[in-house]
This record gives sequence, structure tokens and C-alpha cells, in this order.
Amino acid sequence: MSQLATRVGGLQLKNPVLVASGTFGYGREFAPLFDLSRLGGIMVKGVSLEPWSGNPGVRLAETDSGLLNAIGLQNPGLRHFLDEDWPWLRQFGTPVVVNMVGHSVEEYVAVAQAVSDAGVAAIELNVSCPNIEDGLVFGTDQTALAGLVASVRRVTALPLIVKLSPNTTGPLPYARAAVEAGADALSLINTVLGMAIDSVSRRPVLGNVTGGLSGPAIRPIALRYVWEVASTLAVDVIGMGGIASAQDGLTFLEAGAAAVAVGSALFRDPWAAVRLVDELPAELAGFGYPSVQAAIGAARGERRRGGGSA
Amino acid sequence: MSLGRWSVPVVGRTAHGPGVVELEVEAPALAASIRPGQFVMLFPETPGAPYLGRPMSYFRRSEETMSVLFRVVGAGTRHLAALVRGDRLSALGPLGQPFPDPEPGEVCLVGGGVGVPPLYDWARTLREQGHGVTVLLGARSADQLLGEAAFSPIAAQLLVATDDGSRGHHGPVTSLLPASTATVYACGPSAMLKAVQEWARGRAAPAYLTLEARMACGFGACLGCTVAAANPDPAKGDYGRYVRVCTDGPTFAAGAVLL
Ligand SMILES: Cc1cc2nc3c(=O)[nH]c(=O)nc-3n(C[C@H](O)[C@H](O)[C@H](O)COP(=O)(O)OP(=O)(O)OC[C@H]3O[C@@H](n4cnc5c(N)ncnc54)[C@H](O)[C@@H]3O)c2cc1C
Ligand SMILES: Cc1cc2nc3c(=O)[nH]c(=O)nc-3n(C[C@H](O)[C@H](O)[C@H](O)COP(=O)(O)O)c2cc1C
Ligand code: FES
Repeated sequence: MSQLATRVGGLQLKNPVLVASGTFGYGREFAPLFDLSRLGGIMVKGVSLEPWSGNPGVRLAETDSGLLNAIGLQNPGLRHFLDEDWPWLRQFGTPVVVNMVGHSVEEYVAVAQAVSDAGVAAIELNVSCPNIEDGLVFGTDQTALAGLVASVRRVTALPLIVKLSPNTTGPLPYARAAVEAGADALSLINTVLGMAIDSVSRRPVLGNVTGGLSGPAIRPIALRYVWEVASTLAVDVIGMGGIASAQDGLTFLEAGAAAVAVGSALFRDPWAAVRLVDELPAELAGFGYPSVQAAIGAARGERRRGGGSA
Repeated sequence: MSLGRWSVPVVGRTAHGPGVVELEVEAPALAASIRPGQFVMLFPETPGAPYLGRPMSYFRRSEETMSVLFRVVGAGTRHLAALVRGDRLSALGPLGQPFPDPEPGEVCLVGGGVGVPPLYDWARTLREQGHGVTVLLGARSADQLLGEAAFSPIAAQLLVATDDGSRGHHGPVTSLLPASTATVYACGPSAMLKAVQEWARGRAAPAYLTLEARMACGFGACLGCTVAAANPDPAKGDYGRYVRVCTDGPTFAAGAVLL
């Protein structure tokens, strides 16, 4: 493999830097700014079977070192993705990971089947959606999670990535359930549930009351998820949560991630992910890693001289 | 010209009454490319600045510089107001759609509170194009009124209204709206925009509203800044129920959005 190349769940990437679902749309806003083929991969905004409107009212609240969002997974739906976005996106040759959302197992399965036939690179299941039948969030109930993953597994041969919710007591039972049901790789982590009260109105800021926290505020949580899963299970991990720079990216590789995704940092600086690609070789070299592969999981090895001590 | 992100130095800072600051930055590329109606996301480079940028319309520009005029309302604007000559900030822009062109003839610009700044360069441009420009400015009270001195040399007619009657007409600025066929552009607090929207219903001449929303990105990627569409495109299904203020707007035809 070349210096930056990596593999996640059977998906071959020329560099380990992806863009996280919901922070990159379907690429249209970024294509005028840089060549999308410079990215290791693109995780598109969650696609549902039918178009979803998203939430009414205020959808954003800033926090110290991050933001809360309650977008409500607004998206134009499967048909639009297949007719408009995918034919346009594929011209860049960058692996496209289709993030998908649904109200029921049947909806996920239908989307998975359709995009597999279209020839995308991989599927990522956003399991932080409630099942309309019982109101349970797939990703916070091991049985529901395993059932969903197994059902999607049956209809696709593509690399199947499951994106775990951090709103549980810890990653391992859920990671195990997903892997045993057929997941090829795990994305860690989705947003952390939170809320905010407005400084003037003294009422919840978000129309939806609660929202998902992202950005630097959740980076240590994400790093811990990556570390725990990667050092316990034999599954490839994509790390995400507050990654903005090559320094951040390298720490996730060292914790055991095989690739990383840049999310909210793109809102501050739309060039953040390509900058990470450009700066990663020097960052690797600075710590004596000949390649991305050499850095993956390196933090589990012996402590370096001069490293911190208690 | 496409979007850029520049680190720019503050070259001027002027107080315009209580809690209102004009900040001028040296930004030749932005000043040359930004169009009336567009905005920038501003990120102070000083320690402790908020995570997200703050959307700001531009107020005036020269060949070398561009300025914003804003009221301090919270942490982000407080941080911006604390910048002094020589401090740097990053600016992402130009963002949003420029103001749509008016019909031939008269134009009426309605500005309330900190909705006034984006209208200034537009008034100047319209006047250069030969339009007669009526400007209506509103504020809570005389000391909060913005832009009167800037607009007076370019407006064919300049009328002022204050909620407390301390200057000009006593009452909402919308009560000064003309019964003419002027193309109307309004920018200000949501109560003012709602009044203009109501007034414009059934009117033949166009009226446009410039909206504000909380924004994370400003360039269409996060879907955080949406407003409900009045006539969603049926081809888009449920997806069409909300449109983005940052990239579909910030200026919309008065009948196009539900406020
Ligand atoms: C396209 C655009 C152009 C703008 N141009 C100007 C301008 O020229 N001059 C100017 O003074 N302001 C302008 N604004 C508004 C400005 O962006 C906000 O005042 C600023 O972001 C507030 O940041 P803060 O951290 O100081 O306040 P915060 O602490 O974030 O908020 C203080 C209070 O204001 C409310 N608030 C915050 N942001 C918004 C918002 N976007 N819409 C409605 N309520 C809000 C909050 O709910 C809270 O009650 C513009 C906004 C947009 C979207
Ligand atoms: C505005 C916004 C929208 C998002 N939409 C999705 C989505 O559609 N599907 C999904 O799986 N994750 C979504 N996410 C979660 C991100 O992909 C990512 O997991 C999370 O934000 C943590 O990374 P970050 O801190 O770098 O943003 C969204 C995040 C944000 C901020
Ligand atoms: S602010 Fe992100 S889409 Fe408008």
C-alpha cells in the first residue's frame, strides 16, 4: 500500500480522510471549492426511502467548542439521490458511502437494495433513528440493532458500515451485536444528545428541544469509543467526532481507527478535510510513522520516550 | 466569483451609538467580488472566539476595504466588538444570493434596526442605475436609529419612524410604506418583515424580504438555517417544505416564505 492508503471493511481508500454524513450534503456545495477526488471518501447526507422534510423551528444551537443540531434528517429521498446526485457524484471517482436512515427495517432494506444495484462504494447505516413501530431507537437496543443489520446484510454485498450512537452505556455490546449480525466496519461516533436554553427567552433553543452535539466538545468521547472497540474487536473502525486537523486525525489512527471523517469542522472551514489530506504526510513523518498503516493502533504499543507519565 | 476564506486585518472601528459598532477590514478580494444582498461569516482570530462564524451583511466597501455594522446581542457579537485595529479575523464569503433586480422605476428600501446595513450599498447601486430610491428607516428610539446620515445623500426621499416617537413618525416603519408601484426590499426584525409581507399580499409590484436565521455554515451544507416555503415544489415531496436562508436566500419574494 502507498503511504496514505488504507482499507475499511473491504473498502479500499487512497487516503484515510472521509467527510462525515450530514456535513457535506451530496457534495454540490463543495465541488466549486476543491477537487472532490482529493478526498479518501464521501459519506453523503442520510438518504431515506421517501423525501423527509426535517424539523420545524430552530435547528441549531452553538455550544462551547461545538454545536447542537436538530435538523431532523431532511433529505430529498432515494429517487432524487439515484437520479440526480449519484450520477453527478460518481464522475469524481471518489468512493461514495451512502449513509441511510429509515423509520422501519423495510425502509432501510429498500434503500440498501436500490443503492447496491446502483454501484456505490459502501453503505453506512445511521441507526440513531426511532423505529416507527415501537418508538425504540435502533442503535440503543441491541436486539433491534442486530435485526436491522442482519436484514440489510441479506440484501447487499457492499461493505456494510454501522454508525453507532454514543447515547448508550458504552460501545462494546452494540459493536458486538452489529459485527455478529454482519457489519464489515463501524463508524464511531454519531452525535451526543444534548440541549440548550436560550439566554434571552429562557426556553429551549431547539425547536425539537434536544439535539445532537458535535465538534471538538465530543472529540475525547469519540476517541474513547474508537480505542475501546478497536482494541477489543476484530473490526475496522472509522473515527469521527471533532476532527479538524492532521493532529486530530493522527490521534484517531493511533487509537485504532483505520480511517477518519471530518464533520462539523467543514462548517468553519470547507477546506478542512483536504487540508488534513495535505498535512497528514508531514504529521506522520513527524512522529516517525512511515505510513498510515504503521500509525493505526500504535497508541496501544509501548510508550514513546518523553511521552507523558503519571 | 466563488467562495473564499481570508484572514483579514481590522483597519477601522467606529461606534454608531450604544452597542452598535462598524468594523472595517482590509479585504480587497472580498470587496471586489461581494454584491449587495450578500453576506460573510466572520471568525475572530482572537482567543476565546466562538466555535461558529457569525453571519453579517456588509455595510460599505471601497476598493481595499469592506465594513460590517452590527449590534452587540450576545457572545459572538461581543467578541467582534472587542476587536481593535490590527486584530485579525477570518471571513468566509461572499455568501448568499444578491438582491434580485427591481422592476424599472421607483424602488423603496425598508430597514428596521440592524436590518439597515445591507440596504446601504444597494441604495447606492440602484441610484447609479438611475432608479429613484425611497428609504424608510425604523428603530425602537432615536438613539437606536442607524444609517440616517449615510442614506441622506443618496435617497430621493428618506423617512424615519420610531416606536416611541422620539424621532420621525411615531409608530412602525411599515406604516410609511407607499401606495406606489415601487419594488420593495425589506430587512429587519421578524415583526417588521411579517407586516411587510401582509402589506404586500395581492400587490402587483414585487416585494422582497431579507431574512435572518441561525447558521452553522452559511454555504448550504448543514441545513440548519431553513425557513418554511409558502409554495413547496410538489416534485420535491416533503423535502421541499423548507428552504435554506443562506443559499436560497437570504432574500426571498415576500410570498415565497412562511414567517
Ligand atoms: C445573512 C445575515 C446577515 C446579518 N447581518 C447582520 C448585520 O448586518 N448586522 C447585525 O447586527 N446583525 C446581522 N445579523 C445577525 C447576526 O448574525 C446575529 O446578531 C449574531 O449572529 C448574534 O450572535 P451572538 O453570538 O452575538 O448572539 P447569540 O448569543 O448567539 O444570541 C443572542 C440572542 O439573539 C438571538 N439570535 C442569535 N442569532 C440569531 C439569528 N440569526 N436570528 C435571530 N435571532 C438570533 C438568540 O436567540 C439570543 O436570544 C445577520 C444575520 C444573518 C443570518
Ligand atoms: C448538521 C449535522 C447533520 C448530520 N447529519 C447526519 C446524517 O444525516 N447521518 C448521520 O449518520 N450522521 C449525521 N451527522 C453526524 C456526523 O456525521 C458525525 O457523526 C458527528 O457530527 C460527529 O463528527 P463531528 O464532530 O466531526 O461533526 C450530522 C452532524 C451534523 C453536525
Ligand atoms: S447555514 Fe448551513 S445550510 Fe444554511
